[in-house]
Amino acid sequence: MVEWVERGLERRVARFAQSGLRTSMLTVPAAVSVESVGLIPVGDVMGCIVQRITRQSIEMTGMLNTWTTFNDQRYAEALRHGYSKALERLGEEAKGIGADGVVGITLRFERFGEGTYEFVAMGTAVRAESRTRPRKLFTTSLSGEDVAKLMLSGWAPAELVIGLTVLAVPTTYRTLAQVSFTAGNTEVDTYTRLLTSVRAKSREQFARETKRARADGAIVSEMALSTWSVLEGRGSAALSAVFGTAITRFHTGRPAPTSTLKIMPLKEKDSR
Amino acid sequence: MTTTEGIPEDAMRRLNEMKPGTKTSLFTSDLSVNEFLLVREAGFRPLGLVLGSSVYHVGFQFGRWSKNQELEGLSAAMYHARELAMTRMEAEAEVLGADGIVAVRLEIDFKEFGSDLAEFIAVGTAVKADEPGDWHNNTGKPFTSDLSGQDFWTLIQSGYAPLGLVMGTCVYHVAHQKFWQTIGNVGQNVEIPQFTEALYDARELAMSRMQTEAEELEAEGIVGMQLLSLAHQWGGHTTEFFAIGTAIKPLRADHTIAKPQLVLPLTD
Repeated sequence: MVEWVERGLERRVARFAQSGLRTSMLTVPAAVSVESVGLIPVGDVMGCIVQRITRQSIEMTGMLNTWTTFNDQRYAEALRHGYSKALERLGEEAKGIGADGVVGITLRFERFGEGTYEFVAMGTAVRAESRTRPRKLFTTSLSGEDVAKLMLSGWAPAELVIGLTVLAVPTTYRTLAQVSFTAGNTEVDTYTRLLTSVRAKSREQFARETKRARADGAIVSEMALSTWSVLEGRGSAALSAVFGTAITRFHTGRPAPTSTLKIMPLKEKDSR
Repeated sequence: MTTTEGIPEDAMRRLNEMKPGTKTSLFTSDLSVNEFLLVREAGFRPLGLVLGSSVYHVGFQFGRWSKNQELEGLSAAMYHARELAMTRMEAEAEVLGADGIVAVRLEIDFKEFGSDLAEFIAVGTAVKADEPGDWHNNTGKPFTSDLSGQDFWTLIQSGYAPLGLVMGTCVYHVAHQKFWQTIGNVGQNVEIPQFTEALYDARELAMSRMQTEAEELEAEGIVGMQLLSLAHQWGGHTTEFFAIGTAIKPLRADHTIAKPQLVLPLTD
């Protein structure tokens, strides 16, 4: 780890140790929920990184000669690196204050300056009231309430997972014909293929990451897609990102500790 | 609230056991936690997130702008594009061996690729029943439903099963007023009958098309129906009327569920 990050981390850990003050970013219902399943908030934790990111690789121009789809691994890798570094630093902080996991993680990606971007991960570190410690810190973007509901039904959050892919395609004459004013109403297959494959690839990666985490499944919390024009309009690129939490079953063989209680809230709008 | 005995201990032990080399069955789902748990309790296992997409060039159609009329070309395009997205999603679900798809969302997103280009996307979670049963509809496809996990649970509890997502669309052009008409009702609070008539007509077309789809599925009824007016990017006079709902069939004769406990939540 970089020296100054370590110094900052040590300072934060020392500050926690000294005062014994417990901070948390959870809402009141979320805090009550996690405590009800034996997870005690120990402190708010953060990790960030500022990175230079180029949205278009030099290799992309090559696709204009080959007329094939270009997988912009360099851009995707840069984004993945940013998110995972921010999460890693958040994890270090959590471990430093003796936590077993981090709940309610928010991930932010913001423009910092010309060509530079900041990745921030923030969440609340919790410690389990148990004798066993998890092999690895668990991380989740789920709220405290959701974590409690999952655990009451016999599922534990394992890891925040991300699938991320950037693909680009050259603009063909066929595409131009399909989008022209005279084309009438028709499917534009180049773009359909681009979006379908970029999503498929990021979902595959998301599934692979979930598998790597040895989890039983994953709950997707966000699927983002953005598109933009590249190489002065001679091509189009798309970025697909899938964020979610890998979850695992801990009461296999036995019935769930609790089951759903059917209630009807006395308020106007129900929240999904 | 008291700690439920053993939960943190068991959970942490499981997290401790997760190590390379252990085999797991994997699923992904874009249900919320509430929905995920309720779908499980309804006796279904999520198999995976399924998705279908189609980028469609939805252009313009010429007509006589002084007349109320359906723009059939656009209606057909909007329907066809959604149909493509749905079919592709269903194909993904069939590969997974699903009995159905729950919490389907049908969305339209105008992309930066160019003007009049929209992406039609269908996303849902493929599920399989724990108990084997005949969940496919009469077209031999897995059932689809746009109901949330909560609604899905309630539906199954009350002895109904979803058959399929049904929809109907109608892109309608409301006639521009003639010059003397506009002059005639300036400054007056009056009904503009031709506008009212147009809206009635368009909604009726969309709803009847949805109903036809449900009849083809031999459904008993349609629940969770929505009737949307979507302006898209066609200007004030051209609107898409879109009806969507879930066609259902009865599973058993009685349809009663346990009376829920009423609660007053202490949150907003």
